[in-house]
Amino acid sequence: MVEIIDSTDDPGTGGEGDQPANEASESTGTAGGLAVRFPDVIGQERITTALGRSLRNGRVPHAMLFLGDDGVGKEATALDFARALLCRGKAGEKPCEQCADCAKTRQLQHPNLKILFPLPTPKESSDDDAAGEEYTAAQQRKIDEVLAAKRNDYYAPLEVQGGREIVLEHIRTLRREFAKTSYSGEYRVVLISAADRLRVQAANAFLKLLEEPPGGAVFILTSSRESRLLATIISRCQTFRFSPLPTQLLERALIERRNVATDAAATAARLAGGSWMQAREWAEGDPGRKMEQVVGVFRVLYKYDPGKIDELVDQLSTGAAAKELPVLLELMSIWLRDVQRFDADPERYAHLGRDASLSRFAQVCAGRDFARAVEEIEQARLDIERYVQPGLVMHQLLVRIATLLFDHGPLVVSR
Amino acid sequence: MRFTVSQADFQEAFGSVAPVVPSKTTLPILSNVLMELEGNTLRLVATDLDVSILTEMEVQGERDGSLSVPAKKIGDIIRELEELDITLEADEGNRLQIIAGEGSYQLPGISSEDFPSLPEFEGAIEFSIPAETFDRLVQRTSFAVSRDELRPALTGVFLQLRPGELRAVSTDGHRLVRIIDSHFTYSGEPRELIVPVKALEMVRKNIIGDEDVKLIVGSNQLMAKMKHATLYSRLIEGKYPHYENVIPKDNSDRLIVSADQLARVVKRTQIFANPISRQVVFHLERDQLIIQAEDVELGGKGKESLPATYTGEDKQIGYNSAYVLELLKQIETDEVLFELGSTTAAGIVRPTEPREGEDFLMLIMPVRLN
Ligand SMILES: [Zn+2]
Repeated sequence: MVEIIDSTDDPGTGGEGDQPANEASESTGTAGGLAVRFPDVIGQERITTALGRSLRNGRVPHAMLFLGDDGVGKEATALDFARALLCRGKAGEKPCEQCADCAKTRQLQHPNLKILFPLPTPKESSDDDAAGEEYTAAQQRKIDEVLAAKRNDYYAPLEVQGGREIVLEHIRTLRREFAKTSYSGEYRVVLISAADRLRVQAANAFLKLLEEPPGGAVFILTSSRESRLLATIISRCQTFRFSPLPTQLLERALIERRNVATDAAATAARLAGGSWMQAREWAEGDPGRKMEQVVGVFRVLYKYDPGKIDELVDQLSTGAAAKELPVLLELMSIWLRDVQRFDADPERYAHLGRDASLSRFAQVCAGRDFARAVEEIEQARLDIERYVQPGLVMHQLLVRIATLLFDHGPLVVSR
Repeated sequence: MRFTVSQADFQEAFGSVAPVVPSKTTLPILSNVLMELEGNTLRLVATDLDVSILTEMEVQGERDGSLSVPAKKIGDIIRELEELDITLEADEGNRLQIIAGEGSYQLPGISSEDFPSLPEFEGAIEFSIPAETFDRLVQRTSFAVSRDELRPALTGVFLQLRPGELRAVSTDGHRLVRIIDSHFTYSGEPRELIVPVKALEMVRKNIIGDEDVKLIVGSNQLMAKMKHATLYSRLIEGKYPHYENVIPKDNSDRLIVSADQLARVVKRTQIFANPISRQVVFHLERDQLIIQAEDVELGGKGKESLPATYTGEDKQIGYNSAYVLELLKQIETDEVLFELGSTTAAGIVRPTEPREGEDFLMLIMPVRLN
């Protein structure tokens, strides 16, 4: 069939490959004193400062990619930034927490905020108008629950059981969204969580959107698996790398935000590997008691009764306890580092309520090869990961540590 | 919030906003209808973010306030209630209490703060269109709008406001409609906008009697004010194609034929057309028009002639029968005028007598004959 309208007449052919930034307009313009806040975010000052500056200068990138491990605050940062962008309060702070937009963004219920995350592939809908999504009631409830959790806590993961990819249909919904003028206001923010789960087809549809970035559009993509991201996506976005959170920051946040006891907070923070979510998980699992167990292990090694050591090895490496070995080893490293550093800065450990035992061990082990002991622990961890028999690994490790730290020197113990 | 209202009145007002509530949404608040009470005026609002609709009604107000409640639940219960006065009351915990006779029902709502605010209109352009004109404009243009989302501009009706003239245009690439209303009372700056067809249809459904529809164009949204409802719609972004270039200037062959008779003949012959191409062939001769269809694969064939006046050389032009029928439906005069050029050029279709103050034409592209 011949067409009346030639496709060269179609709006918006061409389009630059560059990543032009959103130019300032009067409403949020270049207000000099504007403070951009990230009340939910722990740390990451380098990034939040840069984002705040981009908003103040009216040079917010159209597409950003937040990279970093799980639990370091990529989505929390994205959501707080979205709140700042969508806030239309007159106050000198964004988000102002007082305007109608802020009330809605807080609940993730703002017309100009879209959140996409991996979901199960919906059944093809029979109804044209229903945008193709058709989840079962049970699936929908799970999705709603995930979003509700996110509303309460911007660090909560956007993970739904069976959610394998960013559904193509949802990218198409974005296309429909951006074909029309903004519902209200200047910015329209789209958060795409786990952008590494954009499969080729959906990614292409998304890239097509980016080719001619609609006015006011701000796409924030997050990923903790950089190697799985499509190169075409990376090259189109301005990248922000989130670092693991420093231990002290996590410790303080656990105490201030979660009311965790100081001792437990210190331990959990160090176990967390820079992740706020892991820090919280550790804090919930009674880390103080676990640390007591570790101190107990070192006491046995200090006293050095071969029978007791055998008993301890059995206790630690059989049954349910065997699964906890990696954690125990991690805690042993932490404890050793604490002992080593104790004399240099006893103040730092005062609040942990363990300084008595730390001080004693610091005296006993003064001048010993801590670095070597920590290496041995790491080696044991690797061996266990490679399925070397845990009892064997632990026995060898404990004897080596006893030798290194307490001079109980090489022993021949029946085993 | 607390007020009393008759079940019938409430149901009627609710019925005018409920169709906008989306059946599925990623924004849970959109499943709700917003209720706002101020004095004795109850305002109901629903939105799917593309189209928002607001209606106001008189109630016996007792305590001002607002709450959003699940549209489906409240619609269901209101419909089932016996016809009598009902009292609705929102409590501190965002719950809605419905008291009707001996019945008392409770429904969890969501704070009205979370409900999308209606768009603001700053520095807006205003104009009015009589209900009948609006109805005609929408009816004449909406059928030819494209459904192809990859060309969003074509999925709406293109409105061109000029002093004293309003043009409405729609096309899907196969046919095009242009209607010019020269009774248009507008004296502002020329302005162009593309309005989603769904919004126009919704306004049309909400017009009661012969009121004027007041249209207000803001930077993001279009507002249509009617007697009992106000509708807001986002606009379609992008540039509309230069449609004037495709309207032929020198189609000199004129065919005049009874619109009604032609429609009946096309309906009959198309039964024998290939079901995919739906092609019917117009054999144009001086005093008659022969309509022919053939399905080569299945061997079916149909042919019928009807009296016609034709001024050009004899020729044959193929059309998609469905498109022909749709165009004929828009013709109000007894006879229809085809202005034709070559067998591959767009044909102009229009009423033989234009309406006072209205210039209305449609284009149809021929199908290549094989
Ligand atoms: Zn605000």
